[in-house]
Formats: sequence, structure tokens, C-alpha cells
Amino acid sequence: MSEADQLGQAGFRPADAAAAEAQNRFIAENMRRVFLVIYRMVGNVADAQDLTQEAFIKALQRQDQLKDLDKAAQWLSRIASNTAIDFLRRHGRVNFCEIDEVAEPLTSPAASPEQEVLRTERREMLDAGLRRLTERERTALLLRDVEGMDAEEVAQHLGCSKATVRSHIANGRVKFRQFLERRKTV
Amino acid sequence: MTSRHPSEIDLALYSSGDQAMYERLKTALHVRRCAHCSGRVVAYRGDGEVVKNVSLTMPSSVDWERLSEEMTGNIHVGLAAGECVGPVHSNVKQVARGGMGWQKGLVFAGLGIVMLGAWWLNTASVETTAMGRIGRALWTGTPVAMLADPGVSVEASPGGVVVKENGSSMALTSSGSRPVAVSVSLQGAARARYMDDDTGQMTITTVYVQ
Repeated sequence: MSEADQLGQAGFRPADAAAAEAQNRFIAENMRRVFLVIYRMVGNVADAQDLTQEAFIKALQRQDQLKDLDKAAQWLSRIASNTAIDFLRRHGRVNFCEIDEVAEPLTSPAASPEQEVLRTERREMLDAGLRRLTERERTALLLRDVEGMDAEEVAQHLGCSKATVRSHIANGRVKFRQFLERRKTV
Repeated sequence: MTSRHPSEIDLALYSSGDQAMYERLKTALHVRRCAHCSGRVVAYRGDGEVVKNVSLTMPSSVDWERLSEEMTGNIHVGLAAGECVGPVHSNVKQVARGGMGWQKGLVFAGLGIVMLGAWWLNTASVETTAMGRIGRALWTGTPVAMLADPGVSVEASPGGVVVKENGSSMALTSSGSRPVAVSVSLQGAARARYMDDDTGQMTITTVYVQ
């Protein structure tokens, strides 16, 4: 029995052990991706945590609306991005200047400490590049590049025209490129 | 070959296939023959992958193990709370729709009947009789004045107030005066108001029928 079938029969609701297990697996398999997409959109861990939980609860409570079980992950992504967009709309502007003080433990045994430092530095640099984009540019770019939506779908999600979304996507790409080129020359 | 380079915006959109049809063809024609723009398109495509990778990389400050456990726990608590709250909502809806609906209607109907009865009992019998007469008049199409009492009628006219019974009549007139207004009330009374042309005095004549 496929996972989708199991989820469907179980209805995500832990009526029995198998259903509970299917629900836990659904959460475990998707949580990291959902959290990261929301985190990139809202810009801080605390809000991303709350919104991730909210998205999963919404999804699992509304599982009756899910028609194609094979698209459960995609459906969850839509709920997650909508939850984050609603949050951004409610709060107007969010804080993108969260400073990460705690150093990440060096988890990869294959990488040397020097490599790990370089990798972390590069990641932080790219992170900073993303943070330079406006909220709308970043959200449009994330939905386009990470969630794989086309411009029309992004426009529907953000509640604006396709032309506006194209403009956000293009501006985001150009700004990100300019940031990377400036960093190279420094 | 088109000599002018497309803008950075156009190249960025072209790299991800987000340009409109005509623009896309135009840019493609240029990019095919321009090494500089071709390089820019490759760079933008690479950036798309970079954005994706960076976005899906956990921030260094996050202790994912702890956070994911905490979130999983909270999700289960939220779902359990939702399960508890759900039936209460549905019960409330059920009561509002089914249980309380007809009961409320019954209570309001009872109150309405009591209030109507109280008003009817507290209204003067003359008025209720008159209203009964009006009701009957509307039902039968007979003029109100003829229903005051079988064989008795009261008329208010510019000439005065006239009471007619069994073929004989009694008229109250005010000669020499100019009639101002005549009226018939629901209680069966007829009223005529006259103004004396010389003195300007007002005379009011009212005949009550019982």
C-alpha cells in the first residue's frame, strides 16, 4: 500500500496505530521543507515555527479537501505559503535583521573545519543576499524557484497581477546577482 | 542580429522562462548570437539554483532536532485541541439550527398573542366595535356610515351634521357660517367645524352615536 493510500485510508487522523504512524511520517517528511520556506519568507525562527505548526494543523484538519493524495506535499506547500503570506499581510513588515549568534555545530564528519567554516560563510553570505531583497521580491522568488510555481500561480498567491509578479521576480534576480558580483569584487 | 542588448530585467526573466511570448523570441534571438548576454542568462539560471539551495539550508542558529520535536509535539496538541473543540461547534450549530429554532419561534408567537390580547382588552369597546365595522365594510364593500346601526346613519356634510333614523332625520346646521372642516371618526362620531364670517369665531358640532 502506498503512503498516499495509507494517508487516505487513515485520513491523517490517528484512529489507529497505522494512521498515527502515517500522520507522523507525513509531518516528519515535510516539516523541514515547510519550515525553511516559511522561514525565508518571514525572516525569523520564532514566527516560522508558529506558522509551520499552524500550516500543518490546517492541512491535517482540512485533509478532506485534498483530492489527489499524490499531491499531498504540494498541497501542504500551498497551505504553508498562504499561511506565511497572510502573516506578512497582517503584520505589514517583519524583521529581517535577526542575528544568528549561536554557531551551528559541525555536523558533517567528511568536511574539515576549514571547509565547514568556508561553507558556513558562503551560506551566510547568500543568506544576506536574499535578505537584501524586499519582502515581495523574496516571496515571489521563493515561490517561483523553490516551490516551482509559475508566474501566474505566484500572482494568484500574492493577490496581484502577473505583470507585477514578473517585475518582482526580475528585480529580485537582478538584485541578487548584483549582490553576488559586488561580493566577488570586494 | 539585434544590436541593442536586452535589459538585465529582460535577461533575468528570460533565464527562468517568465517573459511573454514575443519578448522571449526577441531575447532568444539576441542571446543566441551574443556571448555577453548568453553569459548573463547562464549566471541568472545558476542564481535560481543558488536561491533554491540557500532557501532549503537550515540557518546556523537553529537546533533543528530540538525545534522539530517541539513543533511535532505542538502540532499533535493543536490537532487534539481541534478534535475537542470540533464536536462542541457542531453541537452548538445543531442546537442553533434545530433545537432552539422552533422553540424561539414558539416563545415569540406566544408573546405576540399575549400582547395582542392585552391591547385588544385595553382598547375601548367603541373603538373595537368601529374597527369591527370597518373590517366588515372592507369585507362586504358596504359604506361605513351605513353600518353604525341598522337603520341609523350619521352624515357630516358641508351643510352640517345629519342623523337619520327610520326615514326621519335631524340636522345640526350653522347658517351664516362658513364650514371649515367635517369629519367622521372611528368611534361613530361625526364632527363639523364652522367659522363665523363676521366674528371669526369657531363653532364645533360633534354628534356621538351609541
